[in-house]
Amino acid sequence: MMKSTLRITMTVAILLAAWQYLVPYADIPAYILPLPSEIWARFLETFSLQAYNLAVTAGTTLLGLCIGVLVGVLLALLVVYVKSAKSIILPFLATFNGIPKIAIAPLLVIWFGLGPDSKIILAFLLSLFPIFVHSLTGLNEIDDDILDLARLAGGSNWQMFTKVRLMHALPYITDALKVAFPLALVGSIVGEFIGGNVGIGYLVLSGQFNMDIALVFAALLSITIFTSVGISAIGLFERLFLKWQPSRRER
Amino acid sequence: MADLVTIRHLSKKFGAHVTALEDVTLDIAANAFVSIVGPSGCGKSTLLRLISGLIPATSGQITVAGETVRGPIRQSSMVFQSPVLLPWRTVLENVFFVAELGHKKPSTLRGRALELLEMAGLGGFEDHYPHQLSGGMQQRASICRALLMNPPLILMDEPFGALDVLTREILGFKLQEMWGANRNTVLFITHSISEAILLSDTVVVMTPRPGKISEIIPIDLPRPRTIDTLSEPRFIELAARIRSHIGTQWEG
Repeated sequence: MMKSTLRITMTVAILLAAWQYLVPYADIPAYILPLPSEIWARFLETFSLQAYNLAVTAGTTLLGLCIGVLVGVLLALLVVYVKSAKSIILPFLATFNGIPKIAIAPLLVIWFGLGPDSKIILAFLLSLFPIFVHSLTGLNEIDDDILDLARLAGGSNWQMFTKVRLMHALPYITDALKVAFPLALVGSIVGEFIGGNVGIGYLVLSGQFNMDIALVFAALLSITIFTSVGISAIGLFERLFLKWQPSRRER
Repeated sequence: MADLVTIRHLSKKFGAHVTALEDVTLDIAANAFVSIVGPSGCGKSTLLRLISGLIPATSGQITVAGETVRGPIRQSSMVFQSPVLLPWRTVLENVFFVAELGHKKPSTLRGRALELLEMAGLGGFEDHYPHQLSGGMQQRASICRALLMNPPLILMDEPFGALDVLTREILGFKLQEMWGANRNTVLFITHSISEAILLSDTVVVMTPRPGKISEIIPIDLPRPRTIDTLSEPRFIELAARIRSHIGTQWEG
């Protein structure tokens, strides 16, 4: 664990050093590829701007993701428990998954305006499918023997849900979050690209518009910090509450 | 001894063409250890599932403790070929699982659970998670789970089938010891002739396609049976008799 952290830090340090000290020899102008030191300086300069815009993007992303988790898990529950719902939800979601959500983003902006609503909805739509599919697998793939054991013991459906299905689904849902969280972020940023005057996506666009490439990179740095914190939080949750998992890498 | 389970002219068909069991009639005495041996496809597992009420019979009748089986019966508990422990529960919490489903408070059963685990050689492992145990230890925990509520009937579907020969032998003797302490009625399904003889009061030999009982053999070897029992002439005689019912291509 410590060893791999050290290895990654070393690799990043070497890459950054190469970028910093070798790129100047290639004679690439700063408006194409700024040096790490310039990006860092621009990041610090615009720190409050970064923080404000990131907070907006983080807000729409997390809200969209939360709705995605609620709706995704709810739909999965419907498929598991309501027979008639299954034949409607499954083909509908499969078709829905075939539509690139990004392509309907302009439509969402028209329907829901330039404010945060269109971003939240886009983040929600992008995160929905992976969460639905993973929770469905987690809720459904219970060993037949366990079900038999429960039937013999006179266990109720509710007990099976709380004691077996939900617990079984938890690691599937955290796995889904690792996919859905960056997707929700894509939703927010694309929403900001298409319409609006706030958020990290907007900051990237305005950097591009003004040929302030250091600002674009600084905004990317903000996003990276945000995703790292988010993914680490999911990892922390797994380590704290899913420690019974023999190895998270096995699956 | 009264019969805990009576089976009369029991048949089970899957679809129109597959007859899994045909006209099975069998009595299982209370407190007896009864094994069913037979090659794959002789309907052993089907018989077990029919007795537990998990699947309905096509024709015939089963009673357990005087009551006709019409659905899953609460008087029984199952041990499967795989331990099917819940990975997010510790060994002790797993032992409580079946009891909890029957709305029993784990706190009242803690003493008995720990006692069973101790007997099963799992003392000190109660707070371990299943993945920290070997296959044999997991299976012992699942046997403890089945024994916890002290059900009148315990159904075991090849519980040692997935284990290596050595572990299997040790677990067999362990099971004999644990069974001896309480004498619940056990119906034990196995492929192994020697395992069946060592553990049982009665061995039921079945033949396949369709599944039928070909002989019911009382095992008169004195208990407790040990590793030395395997070389006794009476043991060898019984093993040969069981084997004679089953095709030559089949190994026990």
